[in-house]
Amino acid sequence: MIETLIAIVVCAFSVFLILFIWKYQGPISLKIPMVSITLSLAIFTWTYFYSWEFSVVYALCFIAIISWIVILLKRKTPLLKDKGRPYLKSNFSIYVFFKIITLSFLSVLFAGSISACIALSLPMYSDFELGNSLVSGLFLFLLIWPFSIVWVLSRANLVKLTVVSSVFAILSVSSVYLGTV
Amino acid sequence: MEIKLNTLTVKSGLKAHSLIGLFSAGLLYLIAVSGSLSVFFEEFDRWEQPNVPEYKIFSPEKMKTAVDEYINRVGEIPKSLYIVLPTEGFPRTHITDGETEWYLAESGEFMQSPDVPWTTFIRELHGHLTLPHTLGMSIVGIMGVLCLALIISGVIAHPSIFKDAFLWRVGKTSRVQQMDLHNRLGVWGLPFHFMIAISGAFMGFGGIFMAITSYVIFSGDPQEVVDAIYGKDPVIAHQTLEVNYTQAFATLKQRQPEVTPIYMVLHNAGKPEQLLEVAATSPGRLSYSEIYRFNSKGEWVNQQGLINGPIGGQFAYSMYRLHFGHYHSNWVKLLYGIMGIAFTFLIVSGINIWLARRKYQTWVNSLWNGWVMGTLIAFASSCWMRFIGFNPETVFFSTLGATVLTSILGKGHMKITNAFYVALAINILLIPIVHAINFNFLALDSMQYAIYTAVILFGIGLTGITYKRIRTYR
Repeated sequence: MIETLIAIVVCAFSVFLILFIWKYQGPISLKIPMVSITLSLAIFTWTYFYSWEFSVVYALCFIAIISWIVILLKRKTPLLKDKGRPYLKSNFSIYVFFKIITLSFLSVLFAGSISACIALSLPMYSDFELGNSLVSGLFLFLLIWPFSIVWVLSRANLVKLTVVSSVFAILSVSSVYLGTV
Repeated sequence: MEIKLNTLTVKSGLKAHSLIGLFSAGLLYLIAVSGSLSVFFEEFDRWEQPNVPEYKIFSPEKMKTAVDEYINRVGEIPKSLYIVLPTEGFPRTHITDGETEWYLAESGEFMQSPDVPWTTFIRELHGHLTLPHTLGMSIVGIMGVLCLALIISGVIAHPSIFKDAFLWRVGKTSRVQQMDLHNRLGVWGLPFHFMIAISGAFMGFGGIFMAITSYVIFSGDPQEVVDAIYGKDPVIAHQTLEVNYTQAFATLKQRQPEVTPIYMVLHNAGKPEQLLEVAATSPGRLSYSEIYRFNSKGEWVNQQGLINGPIGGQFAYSMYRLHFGHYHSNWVKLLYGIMGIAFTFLIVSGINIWLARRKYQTWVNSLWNGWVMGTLIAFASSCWMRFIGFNPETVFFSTLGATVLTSILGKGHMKITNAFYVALAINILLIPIVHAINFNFLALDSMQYAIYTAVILFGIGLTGITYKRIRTYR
C-alpha cells in the first residue's frame, strides 16, 4: 500500500512538472525531452515497486487521472448551461444517411480485406518462429486496418482512391494466393 | 507550441474522425458502458447470488469426490472437466464442463448452480452484443478497430495537442466546452484507450483470424493455429485411471512455490491418455495463467510456456487480463472502472460536439439523448427487475427502445431529459432496495456492502443532480 502511495505521489509530481513545463515559454525542442524525462520518472518509480508489465499501465492511468483532476480544478468559471436551441424539422434524408452508412461500411470492409492479406503474408513469407509471426500478423492487421480506414475516409479524390485501393487489393490478394499454391 | 501539420491533413483527419465517430458512436457507447460494468463482473456475480459459500482454499483432496459426483450427475464423461478454484476476486469454487455447472462447498459438497442472469447479460452484451457469437464478436472487434481509427484520426486532427494539454475553456460556448472536455479526456487517456481498443479488437477477431489463417496456411483446422501459437498438448498413454490430484498440487507447490492455482482441468477423464492440467497465475505477469501438466499419478509432465515460451504466445495470452484489469489486486478494477467511465464521457462528448456545431436541433439530438440516457436507465432497471423474475435482456432492450422512442416522439426536449434523470435516479435507488428485500437482508460481507454503498451514493448524488437540473430547466 505504501509503495502504491509513493508511486501515486511521484505521478502527481510528474504531472505538476509537466504543467510547469507546459506554462514555460520555451522552444519545443527543449520541452519534448523534458516532458519525456518526467513521464519516464513516473514509469520508473512504478517499475521500482512492481513488475514492468503492471507498472506501465499504472503509471499511464494515474498520470491521466491526475491530469484530469488538475484540469478540472484549473477551470475558473462554472460550467456553461445548455441554453437550448430551436428545434427544427430535420432536412436529413434517409438516402444520404444510407449513403454514408454504406460508404463507411464498404471502406471498413475494403480496408479490412487488404489489411488481412498483408497480415497473412507475414507468417507465410517470413522466417520467424511460426507462433510469433502469426501473432505479429494479427496485431499488424489490427494496426494497418485502422490506418487504412482513416486514409480511405479522409480522401477527397474518389478516382485516385479507387485506383490506389484496387492496386493494393490486387497485390495483396495475389501475394496470399501465390503463397498458398 | 503546435506540431506543424498541413492544414489539409488536419481537415482530412477531422473529416475521417467525424465520419468514423458518427458511424460507430452508438455501439461504442453501449460497449463502453457494458465494459465499464464488466470490469466488476466477479463482484456482481457474488452480489447477484449472495447465498453461495465463500472460502479461500479448496483442498485438492476433495477433487476426486467432486469429479466422480459430477460424472454421476451428468451421466457421461465430459471431454474436459474444470474445477475453478477460489481467488481473491472470486472466493468460490465451481465445477463445469462448459455446459453444466455447480458451486462446490469447502467440503466438496455440490451446491446450487450459478444463477446470475444480469451479470451474464452484461458480459454477453460487452463480448458479443448478445448476438450469435461469431457475428457479435466480429462486430465488437470491428468497433475496437474503429476505436483505433478514431485515436489515429483524432491525433491527426489535433495539431495543438501539447499547446492545449491543460486547457478547459468553460463559460464560452457549449461546443468549445464539449470540445475541450473531449480533447483532454482523449489526449491524456490515449494510452489506455489504445490498449483497451487493441486488446478488445484482438479478442473480437482472434477466432476469425484463426479460422482464416487455418485455411490459408494450415489444413483448415483452427486448432493447428492455436497449437502453433500456444504449443501442443502432450500425448500421454498407458496410465493408471485413478488421478492423484493431491500429488499433482503438491508437485506444483514444490516446483513453482510462487504461483497461485486458479483452475484445474481433467482432459479425457477415465481414458489411458487422460491429462491433468493446473492453470496458475504468476506474480507480476499479465499472462492469464501458465498451464502445468501432470500425469494420472500427479507426476510433472511439462509446462505450456505461456510465461516463458515464444513471445507471441505470451503476448496473446496477456490480452484478457490487460483488457479487463483482472490482475495484481482488486483496486486495479477500480482504476479500470474510472478509466472506463472517462472513455464513456469521451464518446458522448464527441457526438455532443458534432450536435453543438449545428445551430438547431432535430430528431438526431433526441435520438442521441434517448440512447445515452436510455442505456443507463436500461442497465439499472434490468438489474432490479431481474430480482423479481424478469429476463434482464428483455427488460434492457424494451427500456432502451421505449426511451429512444419517447425521446424522438415526445414534446419538450428539456422536460423529457429531466424525466430521464428522474427515471435513472429512481431505478438506481431501487436496485439495493429490491436486492435487500429479495435476499431477506442476508448477512453480507464487505464486498457486498461496498456495492450497496457505491450504488446508494451514486443514487443519492444523481438525485441531487436531478433536483438541481429540474430547478434550472423547468
